[in-house]
Amino acid sequence: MSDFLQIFGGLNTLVTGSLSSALVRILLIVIGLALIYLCHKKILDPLILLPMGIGMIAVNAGTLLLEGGRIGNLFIDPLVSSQSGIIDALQIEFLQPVYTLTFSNGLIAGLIFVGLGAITDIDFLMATPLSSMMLAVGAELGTIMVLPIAMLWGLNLNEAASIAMVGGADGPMVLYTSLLLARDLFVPITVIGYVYLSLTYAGYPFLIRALVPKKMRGIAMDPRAVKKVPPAEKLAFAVLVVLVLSLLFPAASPLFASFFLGVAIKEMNVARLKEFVEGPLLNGSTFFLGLVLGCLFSVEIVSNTTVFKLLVLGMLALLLSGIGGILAGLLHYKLSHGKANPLLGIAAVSCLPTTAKIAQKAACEANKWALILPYAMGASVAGVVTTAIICGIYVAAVPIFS
Amino acid sequence: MSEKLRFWALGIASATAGIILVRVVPAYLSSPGLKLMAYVGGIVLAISGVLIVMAGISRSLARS
Repeated sequence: MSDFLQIFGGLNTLVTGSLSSALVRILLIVIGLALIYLCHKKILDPLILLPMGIGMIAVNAGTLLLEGGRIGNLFIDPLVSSQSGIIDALQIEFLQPVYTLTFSNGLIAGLIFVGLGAITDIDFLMATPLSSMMLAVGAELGTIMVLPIAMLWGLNLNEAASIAMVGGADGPMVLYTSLLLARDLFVPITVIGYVYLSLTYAGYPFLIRALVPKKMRGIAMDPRAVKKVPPAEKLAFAVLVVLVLSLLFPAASPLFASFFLGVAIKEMNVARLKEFVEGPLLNGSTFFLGLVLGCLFSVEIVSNTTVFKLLVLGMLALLLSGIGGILAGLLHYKLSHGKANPLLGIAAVSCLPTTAKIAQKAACEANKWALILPYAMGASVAGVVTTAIICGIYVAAVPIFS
Repeated sequence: MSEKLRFWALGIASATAGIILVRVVPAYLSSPGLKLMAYVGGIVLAISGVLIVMAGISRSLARS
């Protein structure tokens, strides 16, 4: 029997390893299968979760005995830190080059941000900066509130700030903050962040139905009423923002530079660059992000004792940000004398463009003629900018406080 | 109110509120967590103010 099992390494480690590890592996495989099924049913967004689901299944099924009796896989070794270990891993683990060269330095976040910048229209943000910022600041409730809550629950300031960033609902920012502040927990925090962000697609509609009356959800907003801002003005704004925010928060300047580089490419209408960054660059980065995150979802990462706290706090951060966004949306509705759809608040929980799509979908369910997407995208962009600012603040201020 | 003035007024109001949150409010708070929240909220408001003013400047720059 043991000879037979040795031929099939994945089964062998499942049977001969500890019971708890085997159960966790089976659970992760089932979660991977569930993700794929829910993507297929269009309940979850497949853009990241499909490659992630496949990665989770493969890495947890394909665990084998390595040299020296060590249990591992041939995908990624995120915990390797010695120079020789990294060189070995680069030659053996098939996704290690992508992880080492683009994940562990935050490059993937920058690449995605360039692509997002190129598909983002900042008209709404520039035409109505105060409303946009009001919505966006409201939608940062979780990012701000979870920090003290996490500290009360025993996390240190660096870890608390990293998990609180999940409330900003921007995967690249979560990755970037945890990389700089809590390197030991960078993998679980990023994985949890991305999984939850993908789950907003399924979860936020319930929050919307619970907090916003159907009549308000169905408020139609005239897309032609968004004042068109000339490209030259948007270009000038992008350059100024990069300049000022980089001066203020150098630690987050790679993110500002990446996002507004995308915006500048779009506004300058550099056709070949635009085609590249919004197509192959963005799609390729998103694909590898999903696949690598899925493959990081292994027993060694999940069995960290802090992970349970991170799971709860991440969920709380997103929930609070959703509630804060909706409250800001309701305030915006009041201030606009009932002309603004309060769902713009949920769109301000950045997560570009998912939350904008959620807001549009919820509006259409209440009133099939309600088109709010241009406004919702604007609120989302304001959310991205605000999250980047908070990321800059955390990265710059937390080391001083701690 | 002229558009340029509106941008400046909103920007300065937001930045002032932010500065009050950062400089004044923490003195009345005892919990370090609440203090940090006041700092973060204040800085976000202050930066929003700066962004609003920058939107006004970009408009003037693009038109000139």
